[in-house]
Parts: sequence; C-alpha cells; structure tokens
Amino acid sequence: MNAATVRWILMGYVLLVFLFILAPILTLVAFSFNVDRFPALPWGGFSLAWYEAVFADETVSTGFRNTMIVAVTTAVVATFIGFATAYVDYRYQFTGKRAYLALASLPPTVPVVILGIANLSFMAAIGLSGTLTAVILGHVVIAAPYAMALIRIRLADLDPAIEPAAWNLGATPWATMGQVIVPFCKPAILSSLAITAAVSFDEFMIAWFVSGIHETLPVRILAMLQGQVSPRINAVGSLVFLVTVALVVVAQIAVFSWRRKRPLAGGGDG
Amino acid sequence: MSVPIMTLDKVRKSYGDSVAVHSIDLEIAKGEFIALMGPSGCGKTTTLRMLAGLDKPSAGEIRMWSRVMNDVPAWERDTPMVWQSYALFPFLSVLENVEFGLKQRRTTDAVGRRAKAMEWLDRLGIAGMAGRGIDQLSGGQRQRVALARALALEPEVLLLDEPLSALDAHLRVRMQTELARLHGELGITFVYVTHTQSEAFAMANRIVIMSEGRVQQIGTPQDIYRAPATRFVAEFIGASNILSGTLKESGAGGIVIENALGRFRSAGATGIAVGQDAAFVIAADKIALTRAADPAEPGLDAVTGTVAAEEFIGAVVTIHVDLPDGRSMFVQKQQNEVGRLGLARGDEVRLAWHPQDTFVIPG
Amino acid sequence: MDVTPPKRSRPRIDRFAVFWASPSLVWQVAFFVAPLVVLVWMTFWRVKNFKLEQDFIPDNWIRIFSSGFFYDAFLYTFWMALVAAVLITLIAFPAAYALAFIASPRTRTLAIVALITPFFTSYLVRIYSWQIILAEKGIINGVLGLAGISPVNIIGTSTATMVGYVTLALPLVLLIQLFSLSMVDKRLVEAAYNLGCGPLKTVFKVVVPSARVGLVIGGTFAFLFAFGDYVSPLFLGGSKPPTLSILITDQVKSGNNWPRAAVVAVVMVITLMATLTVMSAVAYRRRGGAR
Repeated sequence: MNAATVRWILMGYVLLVFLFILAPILTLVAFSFNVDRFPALPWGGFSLAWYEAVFADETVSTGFRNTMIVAVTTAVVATFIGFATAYVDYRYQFTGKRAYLALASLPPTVPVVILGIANLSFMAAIGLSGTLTAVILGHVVIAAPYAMALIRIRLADLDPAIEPAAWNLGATPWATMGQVIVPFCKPAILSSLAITAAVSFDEFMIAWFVSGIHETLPVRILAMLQGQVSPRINAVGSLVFLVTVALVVVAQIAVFSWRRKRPLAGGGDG
Repeated sequence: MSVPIMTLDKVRKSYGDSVAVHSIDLEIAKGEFIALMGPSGCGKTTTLRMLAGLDKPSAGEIRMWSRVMNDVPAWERDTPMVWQSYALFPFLSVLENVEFGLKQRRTTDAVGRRAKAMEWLDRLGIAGMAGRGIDQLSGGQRQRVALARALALEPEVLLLDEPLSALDAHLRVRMQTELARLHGELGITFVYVTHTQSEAFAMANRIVIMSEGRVQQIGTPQDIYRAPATRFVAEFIGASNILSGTLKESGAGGIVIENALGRFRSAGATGIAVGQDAAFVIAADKIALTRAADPAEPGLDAVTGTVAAEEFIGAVVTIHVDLPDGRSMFVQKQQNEVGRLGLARGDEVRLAWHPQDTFVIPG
Repeated sequence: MDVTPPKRSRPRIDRFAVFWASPSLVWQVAFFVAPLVVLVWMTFWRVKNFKLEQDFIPDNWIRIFSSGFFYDAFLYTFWMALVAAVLITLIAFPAAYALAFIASPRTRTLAIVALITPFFTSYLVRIYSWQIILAEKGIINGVLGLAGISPVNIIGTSTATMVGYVTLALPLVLLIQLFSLSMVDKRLVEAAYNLGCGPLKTVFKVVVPSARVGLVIGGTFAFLFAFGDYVSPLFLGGSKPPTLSILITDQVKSGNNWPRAAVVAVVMVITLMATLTVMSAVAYRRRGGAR
C-alpha cells in the first residue's frame, strides 16, 4: 500500500467521521419537512404543517420567550464575569491565583445533572426555586468559563506595554479599561456573548431542575421527548438548532476576524 | 547649581529577594539629553519606569523639581514615554493615537485637540498618515507616531526606552539625527535608555553607565571614552586596551604599574594602595604604531608584539597585536597612516603611548 | 547612618483590582461551591411524609449503599464511560492524525469550525434524531428493509447509548487530539521515516508518545461526559439498565427523595475527582525525563 492510498483512506475516514457528526442534524431537518406523522422511510412528502403546529403551540412560544430572557441575561452577566477574570489573569500575579483560576474554569467539567440537583436544593433554600432567576444564576456558572477562555486568548495578543502606555499618557486605570482594554477585546467580547448565549440556549438539565413552571424551550423539548413521538419535535428542534448554530457561527467569525488580522511583528521602513 | 528637573536620591528597587536597582543617585538638569546605558538587566529600564511612575521605588526618593514623586501615580505625571515596542493603540487611527493623551488632559475641546495633534504629526513629517490604521504603517512611521503621541503633551521631560532598537541600521541613524534635532529645537529634557553605545555617544550630553543595578560612571561621552572609571566601563565601551598588573609606586611622580611586559607609568591619582592589583586603560586611537626595528621615541611607554590581524571599517583600520606574554592589544588608525608602514601578519611592531593618556582602574 | 526604615507605601487596598477580581470569585462561590456544599449537606437530611427535613442522619448513605441496584448502576455507568473513553479516543485518532498531517490548512480550518459548532448545539435534539435513525422502524432498518435484510434492534440497547456518547464527546475529543497533534514536531516524524521507521511504527513510536497528553485529556473528557450524561442512556438506551444520572432524576422527579439523589450525586463527584487525579498523573507521568 503506497503513501497516496493511505492518504485517501485516511481522508475518506475523516469524511465518515463528519458524516456521523452531521447525520442526526441532517435527519432532523429533513424529517421536520416530512408530512408523515411517524418519522420513517420511505419519505412521505414535503410539508410545513409541523412548523405551523409549533408556531401555534403556546407552550413553545412561552418557552422560547423564557429561553431568550435567560440566554440574553446569562450572556451579558457571564461575559462580564469572564472578562473580569481574564483581565485579572492577564494583569495580576498573586498567591492563590491557580486556585482562583481553577474555581473560575471548573464548572463545565461537572456533569449538569449534578449541578441540577445541587441547584435544586440550593435555590429552594434561598427562595428562588421555580424562577427564571434561578436558571440564570446556574447558567452563568457554566457559561462564564467559556467567556473567560475566549477573552483571555484575545488578551494574550495585547502588547504588555499598551496598558502602561495609556497610564503614562494620563489615563487612569478606569479610563484605560474603557478606552483601551475593552475596545481591544471587542471581537472576543462579541464572540463570548454569542457563545455564552448558545450555552444557555441549549442547557436543559439545570433549567429542568430549577425552572418549575417557567419552562425554557429545551425543557419543553425534553418534556415532548418524554411524551409521544411527534414530528413537531423535529420542527422545534430544527429551530433551536438554527438559533444555536447562528450564535456559534457568529462567535467563530468574530474570532477568525481577529486571528487573521494579527499585526505583523517588527517592521522595516516603507 | 540650580534645582535639577529630576532627582534620584538613593533610589532602590527590589522584587522580593532580587534587586533590580541598588542605591542610585542622579540629578538631571533641565534641557539635558541624558542616556542610561548598560547591558540588559543592568537596571536602566527599571530606572526609567520609576521615573515614569510605572514602578515604585522600594527605597529612596524621586523628585521632580522639588516635589517628591514616589506616591504620584503614573497617570498624574507629566513624563510621557516612547516605548521600545512603540505601544501604539492598534484599534485607533494615527490621529486618534496622538490625541489620546490630550483627551485625558481635558484641557482642550475636540477641535483644539485635533489641531494640536495635526501640528505634531506635521512636525514629524507624517501628517499624511493621520487617517491610517497602525497596521498600515512601517516601523519608521510607527516610531514617529509614538514620538508625536508623547510630544503632543508638550512635556518638560521625555522618556525614551530603546526607541530605535526595532529599526534597521540606516533608519536608526536617520532617527538619531532627527531625535538630536528635536531635542535641540524643543529644549526639553530627554532621558534615553539604550544598550547601544553608538546611540548614546551620538546624541547624549551625559551618559550614565549601569551594570547589575549599580551606576558605574556618569560623565560626558568624552569623559567616559577617555577615562573609563571601572574595568566594566572600559570593557563595555570596548574602545580601549586594558593592561593589568601590580601597582608599584603611587605618589607625586605618578603611578607605576608592573607586569610581565615591563613597568608602565600613568598620570593622575588613585585610591589603590601600593602592592595591590591594578590596571591601566589606553584608548586604541592614542597608541603610536611603528615597526619594532624603528627607533623608539623618547618619553613614551611601549610594548612590542606581532601583527595578528587587520580589520577595515570604512577609513579606519583596527590592528590586533599579540604580545609576548600571550595578551593582545589593538590599535585604531586611519587607513592612509597604516598604509605607509606596509605591515603584514607576523611583522614585529612597537606600540607606544604617552603616560598622560592612560587611566588607572582597580585590577 | 540613616536608621529610619526605607519609605514604603502603605499596603493600600487596590480597589480597581478588587473590582475586577471579585465577580468571578463571588459568583462561583455563591452559585457553584455553595450549591455543592448544600448538596453534601442534604445527603444527611430526612424525608418524612414526602417532606424534606433538615437533620444529620446517615440513613440515606446506608440505604443507597445497601441496595443492589445502586452497585449495578454504578458499575454499568463506570464501565460504559470507560468503554466510551477508549472507543472515542480510537475513533478520533485516525481522523485527528489525517487532519493534522495530511489535510490542507483550509480543510483543517473548516474541520475545526465543523467540530466546534456541534459542541455547543442542541445535544438533546441530536439524540432525538438518533432515535429516529436507530428506531425499530427507523432509517437504518428502512434502508436494510429495502435491501431485503431483516431489521436489527439497536434502540434500547447499550450500543445505542454508546452512539449517543460518541455524538456527545467525539467533536471535543477530536479537537483536543488535533490540537495536541499539531504541536508535534513534523520534523520528528520525517526523521523517523528517514531512519527507516515504517509509517505505522512511526505513528506508534513517535506520534502517539508525543501527543500522549492530548490523548489522555481527550479520553478523560469522553469519560467525564459519558459518566454524567443523562440523555443518551434514557432516550437511546431506554434506561435499561439505568445509569447514575437516571437514578438521580428518578429519585428527584418521581421518588421525590432529594437526599438519596444527593448521595448518588456526591458519589459521582467523588468518582470524577478520583478519575481526574489518576488521569492527570497518567498524562504528566515521566514528563521532563529522558525524552
């Protein structure tokens, strides 16, 4: 077997892997347009009926509204916290920094089912059980580490002399934050808003445990899944998928825009 | 003497156990172009950062005029700095960069700010770049923006941290001339950090040579070149020969140092006791070079050796001579002068000098 | 001699620093650490007449640890997560290798985007979609039927659960492997070829050892995800047998016994912490030695 054959086999394998990753998404979208009640082959025919059903379903629209409230609030708060933490990591050295950063980045490694039950009793204890606030509090915990990571990567590209240069020109640390650090981090902040919104938009476990009657859309989907098989799930799933993909793609475009535009090092005369 | 514009009084800076700057005393006069020079890690940049208020002295006092500055934060000072990396704000245009400091002052409105910034861009010959982004500029242009940004504040003192080190050789020379011109025109004080001798010697009125956090010598370029105070300075500026030996006599008749090559006289006084190690320094261009067979000139001290190598840089020739005891010396001469001798490798030569041209340093 | 101590600025509290450092600390202590502390505390509470009462009794622990179904669920969950870790690592490696060493930079960028996107999108919905594909009358059996092959029963088995685990963790594992492989010095690989190493031998003697940290971290994440997942074992595996996360939700949602659910959750946390400790020891073992 020569090298070229090995290359072709390996790249074919890559294609298979991506097919596996994409298969459920393609299936989902395809069957959301299928007229048949039960998703099975052969294909029954094109229909928008299930989308109509979804748009008419009040639990879905309420869920969507709740999800939006939670996702937007989570994105703003988590991005602020992530920004603050990334800046502290960039700027300061202190004892206990490792522990500080570990605490700030650990939550996504804890299974959401555990965070769900932990929040259930905790929110009950502080009287927030069954509120959207409780969902937001929990979502910020798992979303902030992503914000921190994204903004920290951006700050790594900031010339360490820039901040003292601003002070040196008469800007106080607060003014420097507003006029230098934040503008520099803008693409990462945008990216982080999108990613943290996506994390929240998609999260169903914490929301399921603490939201009570204020169901978010993923919780509604979970409930639909536990009920009967219905193509409405395909339609609502496709819509949710569309939103999160849009958010994640926006986030990645923001990141690539700055990674491509990295300033050239040094420079001669021109 | 009138009050210096900036005074460092026993200033020390340490980070934990490591000391970046030992006790430094320095007075900077208004209008001076002073260079802090030394190898990396000598404390020159830390000293500059303390002058800017970016680092706080661990001990001692920094004064501007007679005001103690130790606790004044960087943003309340008036000592703008030109950075080695330029540290321009990448998301602002050239004009906005220059306006940045003025904006923080809030002394003028937007119109006045713009006019002032344009004036400085014009003065540095980059008015045409005002609307550009930083990433569209060459290194030399960035350098000018950085200067304009600092000078737009019209400070009494400008701090410069190796501002030319990122430029290529010919641009560096051009900017040296430009900086010297600006200094002359503005009449303000420049404090210039560099590790490059040629920059310091070309521009500064006074040079502070530092090593391992200590000041080795403060003086005019001539002082330092002719009379390096320590072995470190002599070696660092590299323009001199250092011959070590033992101090044999010290008195009104001068100093005598003896080593395997002979006895050498030196003028001037020194704190070194008879019998201790000492060395003397003789600048390479103060040495007369003749063939060993030629008659010796009376009144000079001399050694003989063999030509090891010749180096041509422009019209100047550096001739390396091996001495009988294994040391070597070097002589710098105009090319036409050496040409007359017609020397070749291995030729016997005599190196001779006036004792008044030598300086004694501790061994 | 000046004997006054050097003039030092008083250790002033830097309000600016405190302002930026506290949000994360306050938030994560209040809404991450505190709930976990309450969780541990709750394992000692009692449930009386379907009502929760604060107490300090070991009954819940005893009850859980004396029930056979807990051990079964624990072993099954652990075993499945272990298989998932190994399986996903093996599935990902050839693809990561191809993307790192063969694919063009453009393809690689595209692949990275295509891997990051599913990591953040609609896991729940994608699992539902697998249900459609793998169901009794699903797509796979539909295709098999057209080919005249008798239908296979996948849904409701551990295989289906495993499909879910792979869906969940494969993109991230692939990304981590790709990242660590792109750190491997390509000259090292070429040198091995030049020294007469065959391609396979090169992969196992040079590439795998160089990318070991990435492989172990990837596998650990796969374990972590599979161990804690609730959706795949429920909707694809049909909760036969139940995993620990199903046990937790059942205790909460149906049994209304929060303390017992908390015991299971605490056991899961301890297991994960132990796994992380062991795996980081494996990942960084003999680092800086003769290499």
